[in-house]
Amino acid sequence: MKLRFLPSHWLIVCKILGFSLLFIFQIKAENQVAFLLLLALIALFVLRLRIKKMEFTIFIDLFLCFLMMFWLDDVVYAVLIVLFEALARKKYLALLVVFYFYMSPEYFPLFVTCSIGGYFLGCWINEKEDDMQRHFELRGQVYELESLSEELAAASIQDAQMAAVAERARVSREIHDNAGHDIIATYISFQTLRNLITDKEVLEMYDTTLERFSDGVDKIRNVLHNLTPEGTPSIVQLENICNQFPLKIGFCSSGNMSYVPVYIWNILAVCLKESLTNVSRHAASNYVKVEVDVSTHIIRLYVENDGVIKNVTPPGRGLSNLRYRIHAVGGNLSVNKRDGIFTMVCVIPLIKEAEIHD
Amino acid sequence: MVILKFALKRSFRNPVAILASFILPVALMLLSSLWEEVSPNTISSVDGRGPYFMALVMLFGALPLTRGMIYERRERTIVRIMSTPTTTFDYLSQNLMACLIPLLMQIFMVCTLGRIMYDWTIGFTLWIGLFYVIFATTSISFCFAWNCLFKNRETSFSILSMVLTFATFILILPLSIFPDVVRKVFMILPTYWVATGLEQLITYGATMQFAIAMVILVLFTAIFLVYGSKRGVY
Repeated sequence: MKLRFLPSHWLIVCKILGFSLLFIFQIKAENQVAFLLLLALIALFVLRLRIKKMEFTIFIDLFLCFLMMFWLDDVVYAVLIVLFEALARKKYLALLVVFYFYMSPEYFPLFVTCSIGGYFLGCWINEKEDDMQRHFELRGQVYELESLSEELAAASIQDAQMAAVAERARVSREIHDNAGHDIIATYISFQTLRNLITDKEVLEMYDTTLERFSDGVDKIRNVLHNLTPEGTPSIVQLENICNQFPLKIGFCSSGNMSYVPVYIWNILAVCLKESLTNVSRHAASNYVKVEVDVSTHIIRLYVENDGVIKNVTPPGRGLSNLRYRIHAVGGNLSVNKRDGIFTMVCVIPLIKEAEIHD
Repeated sequence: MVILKFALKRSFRNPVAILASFILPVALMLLSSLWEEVSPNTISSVDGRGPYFMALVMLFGALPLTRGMIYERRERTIVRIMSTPTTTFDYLSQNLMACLIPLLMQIFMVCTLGRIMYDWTIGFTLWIGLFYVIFATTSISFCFAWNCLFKNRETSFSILSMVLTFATFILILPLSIFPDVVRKVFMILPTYWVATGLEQLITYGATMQFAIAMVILVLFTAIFLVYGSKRGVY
């Protein structure tokens, strides 16, 4: 794996270099207090590397250096190392502190060098962090788009399956309502004609033919039974979803449900499931109300609950992806949160079958 | 404290740890020539090396005690442990505590034997006990951080042998025989401060330099622990 050398690593390198120079030139074998200060600065630096929230301890470093001024000469070099890190971490207050308490003209060039070096290193670190943040956000968006694309592909396959199911239902209904009645009526008429036949041979032929006709009627009946799909998406499906929900849900519907094609029931079922899942995960609600209204031109799904929680986990992609699907069929999904009530409204236009065939 | 219980059992099942933590210290305490000159206000540069050897035994005893965590990481047992509702802090703290307890027992034994056999004063016993406790935590945290530093076991072991050789020299030989440059280099090792602290305690009692040595050991412990906890579980 290739090792990436980030700007923040340069801070570590510079600090290690600074501490090493301090140890080599400033620390003597008998000077334990100086080594104690150096070790304290190293300990605080390691703590800041480990825990991001400990950046304020840079001021503890300055305070320790101030304390040690009374025992040690040339604490300024340690202070300058601390100042470099402070500016790299954007703690500009340290600049004022150091300038006020420690600066003398002989150290001014070193002070300026450390300040400028720390400032530019800080800018470089921030720039790199911003770049990485942007990169992560873009990658997150790519993943979301890929996930949405997979969902839409799966939804289109499901819609195709549902369309096939709906067509089978239509064929089954057509056969049952039109041809089926005529065939049954004809069968009954033939049965009544049997009493009028006296010739034995003709009766025998008639019985054979009627038996074959009866077999044919049975086969038609079986085919109709197999064609008719069970559990076609409908208002019943939405009711079942509400009944399976652990909370008590007030469900009501109005309008002519037969206007609604199968693929819209499918979308509404997914929308309702997503909404109720969000209620169970993110809301502490006392009641949930679900309304399905079908008019001539639109179908409206309305979900309302009173369990708005202030500190909610970051929103997922469920409702957002659903919004794309609903837009694809010309509909709209909106959510609203006011006065402790959360509402979700999904409106989808209805295209009549006659318009489709046209 | 489930992890503490099982880590303790693992520590006490390790024969090398038992040897280093209990048998060697007792054997060392029975060598009276190493301890006879050990008391405050005795200026001696040759005799009385017992406390230094005890620190060395403590340092080498910490090594096998911390191996358990490395084996767990290598055998991927730690993955199963971390799938339970256990925080990394709990896991590390309980394991380190389990490594420390045998050393604390060793220190208690040494202090008791020293008081009984060599008439250590109560003050001296308490100070040396406290110093050893601090050094025990430093040894444990040093071994812990060292194990986290290297992925390759052979590299880790070879470099550690070199470091421990220097550490051994510092504790076996009196510091005064080393030149200033060499002493300055040794300052980066915790054992230098152990030797300095013990020298101060044995020769002059609990002085400011002894306190500084203790504080420096505490800072070393903090650095090793903070660094060692950085490495992730996997």
